[in-house]
Order: sequence, then C-alpha cells, then structure tokens
Amino acid sequence: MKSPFLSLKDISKRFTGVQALDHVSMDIGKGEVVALIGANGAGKSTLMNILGGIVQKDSGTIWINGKQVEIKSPIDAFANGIAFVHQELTSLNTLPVVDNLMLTSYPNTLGIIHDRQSQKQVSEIFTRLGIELNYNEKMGNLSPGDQQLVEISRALLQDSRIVIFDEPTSSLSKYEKDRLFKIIDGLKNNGVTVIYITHLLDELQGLCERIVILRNGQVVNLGNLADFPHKRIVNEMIGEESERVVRQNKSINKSEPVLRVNNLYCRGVLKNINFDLYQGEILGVWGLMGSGRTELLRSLVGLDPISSGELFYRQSGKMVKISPLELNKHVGFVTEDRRNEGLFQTMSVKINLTIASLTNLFGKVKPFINSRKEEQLTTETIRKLQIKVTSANQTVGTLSGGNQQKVVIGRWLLRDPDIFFLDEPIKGIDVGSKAEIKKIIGLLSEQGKSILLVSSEIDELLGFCDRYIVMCRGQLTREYMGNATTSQLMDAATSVRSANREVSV
Amino acid sequence: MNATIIKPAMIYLRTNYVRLIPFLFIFIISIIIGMQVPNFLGQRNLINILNQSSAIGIMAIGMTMVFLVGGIDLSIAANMGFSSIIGAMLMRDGLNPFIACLIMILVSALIGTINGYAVSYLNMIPFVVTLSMMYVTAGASVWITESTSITGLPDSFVDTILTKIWGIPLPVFIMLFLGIVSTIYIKSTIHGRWIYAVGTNITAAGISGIPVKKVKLWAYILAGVFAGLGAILNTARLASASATMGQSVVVLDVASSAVVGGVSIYGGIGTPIMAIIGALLITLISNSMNMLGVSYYFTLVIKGFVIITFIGFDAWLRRRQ
Repeated sequence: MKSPFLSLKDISKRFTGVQALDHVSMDIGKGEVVALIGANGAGKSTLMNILGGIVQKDSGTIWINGKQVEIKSPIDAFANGIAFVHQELTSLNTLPVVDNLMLTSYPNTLGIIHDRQSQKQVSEIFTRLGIELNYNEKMGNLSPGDQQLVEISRALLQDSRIVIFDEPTSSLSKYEKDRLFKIIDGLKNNGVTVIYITHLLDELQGLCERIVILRNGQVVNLGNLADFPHKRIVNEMIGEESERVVRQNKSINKSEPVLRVNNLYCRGVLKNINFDLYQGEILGVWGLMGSGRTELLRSLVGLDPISSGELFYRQSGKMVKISPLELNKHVGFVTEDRRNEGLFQTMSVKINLTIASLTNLFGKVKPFINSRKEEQLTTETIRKLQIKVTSANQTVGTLSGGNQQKVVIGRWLLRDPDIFFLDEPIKGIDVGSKAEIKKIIGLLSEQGKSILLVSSEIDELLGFCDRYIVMCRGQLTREYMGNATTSQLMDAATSVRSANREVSV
Repeated sequence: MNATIIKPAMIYLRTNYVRLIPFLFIFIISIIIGMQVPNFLGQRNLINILNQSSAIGIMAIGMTMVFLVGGIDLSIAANMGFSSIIGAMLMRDGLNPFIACLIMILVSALIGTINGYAVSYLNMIPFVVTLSMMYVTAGASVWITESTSITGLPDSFVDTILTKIWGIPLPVFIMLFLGIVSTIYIKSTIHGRWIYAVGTNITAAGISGIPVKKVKLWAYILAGVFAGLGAILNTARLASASATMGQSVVVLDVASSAVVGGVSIYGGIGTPIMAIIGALLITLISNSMNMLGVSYYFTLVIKGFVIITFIGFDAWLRRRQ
C-alpha cells in the first residue's frame, strides 16, 4: 500500500469498567473504502466517535496525511476534513432541505442570507453526487433514504477528505442502497477516504477493497476483502464457529389452543384476523413493512384499540373470553423499539430485569422489595441468559444491543407468562447474539411457552418456526407449516398485496 | 463487618460525589456569613433555620414525588395555604385540633387527587393543570379570609406541635422523619420502584405491566398529603393562617429545594432526603440575608443567583463525569 492517508496508532479507550478499545491501530490509504466490521459492542462506534470528535481517546495518536492531529470536538473533526454520516439521522424535519444543508455555512452579508447563492451551492453538490432532490422540500417529507443523501451532501459541503458511514443501510430500500453504493464509488474516485461500518456482510462485495475486523476492542484481523469469505468473517467477528440455529419441528398438540383470535378488526389497520396459538408453539408472523404485523401484536394486548373481534385464552383447561388488557397480564411483550419502549436506559440492569414482576416476586408478602432475593434472582437470570455485564448494577444503557435485548427478554422470564410476543427480537444485533437469542426462544417453547414471533429477516425465521402466518395489508393471507420456503413466504406476502391493491383501487 | 459497609459507601461517594455539593454550599455559606454576623452560627439561629425550613422541606418531599414521575405541582404551596386556612378556621371555631389536622391533610390530598386525575386520566398537561389549581386555591384563600389572618388558635395545638425535644422544635424532627421514611419508601418498596420507572420511561413502564396512570395519580396525591402536613406545621409555627402563606414565591422555594437537592425535573432521578437538604440550603440563604440586613427583594436576587450557580456547577460536574 502507498503511504497511508489516515493512521490510527494504539488508540485505547476505557469506559467505566469496560475496555472499549485496546491499542487499536490501522492505516487507510487515500481514496480507499475500508469496511469496519464487528459484532455489537466490538468497539466500532467508539473508534469512529473518537475520530469524529464525539468521544475523547485515552491514549494513542491520529495521523492525517503524515501530520499528527488532535481531535477534541466535532468542530476539530470538521477542520481536519472528517465527516460523519450517522446511523440515526439528525435532521431538522420542519425546515427545507436547503436550510438543513447550509445551517452552519449560509452565504451572507452581515447576517442576511443570500437565498439564491445557498440554493446554487446546494444544487452544485447535488449534481456532483448525482442526486435528484428538490431542495425546497421539507426535510420531514423525504424518505429515510433521501434524508440520508442530504446528510451525505452536508458532509461533502465541508470538502471532507474522510467520510465515515455508520451502518448507513439499516433503513434503506434496495433501490436506495444501490444509489448509496454508487455515490460511495464516486467519492472514492474523487480521492475521498471512506470508512464504512456495518454488520451486514452481504453488502461488502464490490463496495470495499479492504476490511478491518474488531472484536472486544481489538483488531483481530485486517486485509483484502478477497481473502475473507463470508464464513471466515463471521468466525473472526464472534470468535467461534457460528452455527445456524435450526430447530427440529416438534409435533404440536393441536387439540386445544392457548390463544384464539376471532374476527379481529382494527379500524384502518387490521381486517378479519383469525388464528390459533398452541402450547409450546413458535408461530412466525411474516409480512412486509406496513403489513400490520406490529399492529397485530399491539392490539392483542390493548396497546392499540380494537374495533371488534373476540379473544379467547385458556384458563384452567377452558377457553375463556378475555379482553386485550386482561390478556396483557399473561403476555411477555418484547417490542421492536428497544430504546423507547423496552428499556429504562438510565437505570441498572437489576432494576430493568425485575421491574415487570415486582408484585409477583415480592408483593404477596409485603410492599418492600427483598433486596437479597432480588440480587439473587438477577444474578441467576444474568447467568442463564449469559448477559455480559460488569455487575448487576451497571446502567443498562451502556450495554450492547444484543445484551440489552437479553435484558428485555430476561425481564419477562422472571414474570413467567404463558405467551411471549416477540417483535423483531433479533433485529439490529450482532450475529453471535442472534444465535444465542434464538436458542433462548427455542428453550422457551420447549418449556411449553407459546411464542408469536415477528421478524422481517426471512432467512432468520426459516427453519425456526413451527408454523407461519403471512400478513398482507392488514389481513392474514396464508398459513404455512414449519417447512415453508423463502419463495413461498415471499410470494404470499407480495402477490396478495398486488391483488388486493387491484380490488381497492 | 465494618469494611463491608464502608467499602460500598466509599464507592457510592466516589461515583456520586455530585450529591455532596449542597452540603459543601451550606458549609461555605455558613462560614462566610458566620464571620460577618456573630449570631448567625449561634445555637438559637441554627435551630431557627431548621425550624423555618421544615414546611418547605416537607413540601419539597411532595414535589420530589411529582418530579420523579416526570410531572410538576405548581399548586403545592397554594394548596398548603388553603388547607391552613380551613384548618385554622375550624380550630378557631372550636373543632378538636387533632381532627382539624386530619381535615387539613384530607383537603390537601383531595386537591392533589384532582390534579393527579386530570394529569393521568384526562391526559392534561401538569404545568397547566397545577398552575390553574394554584389560581383556584390561592384565590379561594384570599376570598374566604377576606385578606385577613385567622388567629385565636387553641394553645394546645400550637404548643403540641412546637414542643421542644433537646431544645429542638418538633417540626424539625417531623421533617427529618418524613424525609427518611419517604426515602425508604421510594427506594425499597415496589411502589417506589414503579414511580422511578414511570419517570424514566413511561412507555416501557406501561408495556412492563406497571399501572402507569395509578402511579402518576398516586404521586400527585402524595404531593397533596405533604402539602397538608406542611400546612399543619406552618399554621402552628405562625400560630395563625393567612392567604400569604401560600403565595407564589413559596412554590418556587419548594421547587428550587428539590432541584438544588439533585431531583431531576425530567423525572426518574433524585431522593426526598436530598430535597430536604436543598430546602435547608434555600432557607439558609433567606435567613443569612435577613441577618445581614439585606432587603427582602434583594434577597430574591441573591437566591436566584445562588440557585443558578449551583445548578450550573452541578451540570458542569455531571458533564465531566
């Protein structure tokens, strides 16, 4: 390799009790696209936050173009030509695109903005990137993909020499992804150095020349992408042979369901939903975005109102009619939005684990929480689910995504309900944790728990569920047994969609 | 045995040393004023400060409960003033003081219940609901008293409440007792845990099966109860009741006490006992300025500056952590 453009030497960073980065070194050439790969909690984000000036390193040096630089704030990072396209978009939704772009760099005379000149600069940048967007459109009206393009444009307004992308494709459609990759290609050809963080390995081909793999805060391997087949990367990431969790489909006793849903309607969202859930069954709910999967789960436990329909729940051997709010008491609900609907971010792992079952665990005796018993239950759960924590009192917000998800699941294990609703339980977590969480789900079903599992990652569902129901535009369209194939599920979710559209138009 | 207690305590202090700032402030202010005014550090004045802070401190406990669930109760002081007047009028007209005290707590709790119901079951905004309730109760206080003081309270009431133990008036003990009990309540009961959970993430709390609306309602009722307790102590201390007891500047003292004590107005962080420490600090400022002979209005200016300096210092330390 030619002399490196960006060099990181022995970067270390320690957060309370956790060595996030341990002497990380790497060289990146000018105009090179490097993929930074690692499981959640490997230190990718910390490393890039140091480069972007958001977090301060403890030790080590950063060299750009042969000169040592100090990056103490995002402003320093800008000054050194480093731009950061964040995973979570940070745009001002009520302002037009042009203002989002120029906010810190309006061309002006004595504070009076030259509108026309701003617009000209913006259209120049759009032309350069090959973006077709109306710069007068309100930011909030754009799709996530288009919003991201605006973020990228902002990065380039500063004439950046290094652009960091933090998992940029997590909310993009196929078309938007391809468009993004083309833009990254263009950047490369203009001599811009690109660091691309991801854990979607399928994207790397054709995008990056080199990869750097982080694990537990250390660089475990780096080299040309060509030398790293898919399986090897996964093994390096998680440090052991990964296995695909495939369950033997059990024979489910279908004489009597645990939960029966009859003619469920939810105004504008769900139409005529009928299904049974049996004991010990993992029932996969598959459908495209907006098919009503999440709404189905939410309405069953009273989080969204239902318009009509009946629910029956088996209580002491009999099917009893039950209201959604009553059913809620028998369901452990792991929501898709961990951060906003699942966790108490600033509170400890212990409190997060026991919060849903305080009355069950302690309430019968007296209103006080028996702290010794709580400690013991927490330790047991942490061990059972192999949650990686420094102590039960660690703040839950500092855990990686996979471990946070285990905490949410652990919360319901302590409550011990009969039914689990799992909405995207393995989304946005690393490969290793995915396998572990699927094992936990498998164990639950073996213990006789019934599970309604929603996932948008069809490959993850396959070979795992005992039965599938497919949703499309708020309706249940088809049912498959555990041996369904990708194309069957995909067809059911898409074909009916178009048929339905014909009817409704 | 000792080591097992001391070690966690040291760890706690090392990670939570921000909590010590109010104490530091109290210490520094005391020394500085003590050098200027000889009587300031005298036993009599120190007891006086403790006594003066008791009603504010008790209301700060109530405010803490509401802050913890992510709400605010602007009516807490006016509520206190209102039930003082009701209680004082009943006692003046010959009602048994014990029953009058119960009625004061009941009236305040009822006002808290209305606040809480409006906030949690009618989804109204806490700021607006309690601001309106402040107008209602403060207005009613002036109206029913016709701006006069209610005096002529039975001696038995005043004497009992102001009994001195080791030379310290009973209200100080009541404040400390309530502070400790409510801190234990909030830290080690299921209810308390729920209050923190609701204030930290109300959506997650709901999904975890916590009766969110009830918990919020309960916090406002508690705020009312503490307003009622504050009313009893204040009525006894002043041996009278008037509409000025609940004037709007008092609620600012109460809210500042909680904030200075490290209770977050965004919910989920803080303890009642620290709010009491905050109340001591706020009272200390008023008292010391008074001793220095500074005008009441200039005292407000000083108080405002001290509070904002303190909070700025606190924010700075948190940032560094």
